[in-house]
Amino acid sequence: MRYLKTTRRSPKNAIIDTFIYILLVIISIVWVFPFVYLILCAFRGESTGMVTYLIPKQLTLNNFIYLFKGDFLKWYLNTLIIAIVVSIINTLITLLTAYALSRMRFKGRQALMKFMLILGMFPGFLGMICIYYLLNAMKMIGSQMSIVGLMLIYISGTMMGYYVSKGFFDTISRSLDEAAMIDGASRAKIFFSIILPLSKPIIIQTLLGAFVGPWGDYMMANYIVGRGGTDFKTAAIGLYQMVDTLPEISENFTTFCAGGVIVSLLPIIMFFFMQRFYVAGVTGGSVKG
Amino acid sequence: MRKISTLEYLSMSKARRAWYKFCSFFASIPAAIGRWFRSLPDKFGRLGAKIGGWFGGLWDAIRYGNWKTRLSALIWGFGCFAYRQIGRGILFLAYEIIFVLFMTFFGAQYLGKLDTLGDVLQQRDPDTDLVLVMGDNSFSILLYSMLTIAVIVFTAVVFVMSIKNAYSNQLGYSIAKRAASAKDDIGQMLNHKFHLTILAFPSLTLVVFTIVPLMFMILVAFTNYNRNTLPPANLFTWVGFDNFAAVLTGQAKGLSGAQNAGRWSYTFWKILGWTLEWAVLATVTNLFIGMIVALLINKKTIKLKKLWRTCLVTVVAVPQFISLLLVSKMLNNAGIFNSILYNLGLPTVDWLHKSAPLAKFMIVVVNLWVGVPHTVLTCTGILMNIPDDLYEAAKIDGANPYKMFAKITLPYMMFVLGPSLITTFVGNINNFNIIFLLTGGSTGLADSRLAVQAGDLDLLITWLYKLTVNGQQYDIASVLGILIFIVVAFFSLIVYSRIGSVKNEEDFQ
Repeated sequence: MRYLKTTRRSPKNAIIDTFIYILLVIISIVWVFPFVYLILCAFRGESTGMVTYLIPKQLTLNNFIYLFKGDFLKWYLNTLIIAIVVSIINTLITLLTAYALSRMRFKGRQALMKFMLILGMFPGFLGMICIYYLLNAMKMIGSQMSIVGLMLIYISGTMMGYYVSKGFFDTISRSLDEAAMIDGASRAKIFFSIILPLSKPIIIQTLLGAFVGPWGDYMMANYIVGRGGTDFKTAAIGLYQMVDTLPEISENFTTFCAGGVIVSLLPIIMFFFMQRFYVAGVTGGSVKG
Repeated sequence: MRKISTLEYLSMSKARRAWYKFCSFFASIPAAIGRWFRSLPDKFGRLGAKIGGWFGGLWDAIRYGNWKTRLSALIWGFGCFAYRQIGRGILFLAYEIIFVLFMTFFGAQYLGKLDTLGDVLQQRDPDTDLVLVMGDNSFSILLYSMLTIAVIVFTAVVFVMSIKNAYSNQLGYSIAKRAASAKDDIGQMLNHKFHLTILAFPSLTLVVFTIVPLMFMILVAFTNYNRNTLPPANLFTWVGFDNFAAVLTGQAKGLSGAQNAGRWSYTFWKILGWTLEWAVLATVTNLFIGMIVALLINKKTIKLKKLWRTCLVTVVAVPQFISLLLVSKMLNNAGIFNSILYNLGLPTVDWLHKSAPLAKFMIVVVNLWVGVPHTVLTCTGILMNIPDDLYEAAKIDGANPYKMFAKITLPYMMFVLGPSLITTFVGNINNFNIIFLLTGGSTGLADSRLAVQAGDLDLLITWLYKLTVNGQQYDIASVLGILIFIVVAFFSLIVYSRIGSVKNEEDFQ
């Protein structure tokens, strides 16, 4: 019983804990406040610009209706298609590359890894002028095909992002592979029926990362579809251009907020469902350093 | 820095030991870099030896091969047909035919003009504006030459493979009387050569959309390709290191924008300074505040852990172009923060446009808002991974909570986070979103000495972006890209040369 007594909380600890709770509440408010503001603005009825108070005087859905009367639905679908296709292909590429580099020992493996490390040090945007020209030569600019061009850009560098997945695969015991190989399984079979089922956290983390990347990308997308017709824009470009200049802020701010709410909805839902895996995945890869 | 003996080191106090370690880390950097550069010839030597060894096999094949093997140097795949490897043979032969056609109808014409990047200027009829003479397109010449060179390198590899294949067929045939069939090949592609199957498609996209464009842009840094020389109406040509001279020292002779050279260098050094300052500030503040918040949330006696974490993670989930644009509007002169201040009777501040130091401070603060949740997520994972028995053992030995934190938690976290710091640092050097979406790269206060397109808050990457998208100063933009690479490589090199875990990956398995 004496031991139990020492573990009971002393008044000093209680004070510290209260202090921490207060701090955490403040932190949470600071972190969530902009999003509360976003939602309040999205439902605000009386003015479409910036106002000097926080709580709206009338609530309305007009901002959303106005948004969908424009081209927003097209932008949203464009972004959705790009993000889904890219996330699936990129996850496949990342995992397969990581598997090859983690499990197989072939000539030029070290050289390939070093080469990709160096390649990754160049700013990704540098090659854009050239890619633009290449895509233009393939008739992928200024038409519905620009969506495909954008996908190609997002896919092209994926191979270089194998690090975290490789770190994860490195932690899966190799004796599993060896046992399967003795039973006559090929490398392909080992990957699909042994390694993949064991790698749920890393698959989900990669999928999520590959989805969120194109979903919120502004830099690349603006160069490819920013100046073209309004049908081919992504949500990021369309919404940015809504509040780009001064007169537009006062006209479109609440519409922008409504768009922001809709665009944020999907990633937030995904994150909340996958948060468990996300935390586990982050560790699995990073423990390796 | 003076070297000290072990005895001297041990006689120092703890704080001085830490300080000594800290200093000696930085003092050893020049020597480490010097060592790396001295090892370069050795590294290239080994690389040369490897490539040489690979081609050496070719020499063997020619010397000891029979007539079938030798003929397959001319007609690729002949060595396969002769030993009934029909599938492989067709592939090799088809590749040869395609390559020859490619070179005659496409590659050669561009490669031939690579030295001048074209000399026939486009001519238009001044009245009707119709094109009379098509002229050379410097851009196509440079780009397609790069593509052709990539194809030639790949072809050389295929060529050697084809002869080696023929030679090994010849050797194998004399032993086993049978060469590998197409069925064997397919089996191999799923088993021992699975890596070839799965790396083929990603490598292709990597070459076409990353490597060729990069090679192209690196070469553009040595030309005068900018808004004055846009093809197809104009030609651009090689100018050597003039662009580098303009950006680094402010001196340039043959450049079209030569009168601006002084501005380029003034802007570059100013922006480089702010980029490094920003990257250090952002990385360090993020790490420390993130660690503190993670420790608070993960303290054993704190409840509702999930709720606190969820509040933070929202920022990770919302796309940055929304959250950052929103915050930039909130910090606006008429934004909600100023409204609150005004309603409270306090003076309002134009956060992002009043002065550069204030704007920079706000950028770092907003970056905390964006970045801390990421750090918290990572730290939470690490904290959960620290084995409990470490703490129990410490408790039995009579350690107080402070000591346990200093001796177990902190070293453990730093061990895991340390290597990822450089990734974060590099990510911050190239942090486009926060600068561009939050401020547009400028406070709007005029600085007449800055070059066109540059603002006082721009990082190198946003300046590069503006030069490309708005300014069409591709030559200077390429120089910037190369310089960013050098900066990033410099910092990565320091860390990679000092972290054992990167080198000894096999130790972990």
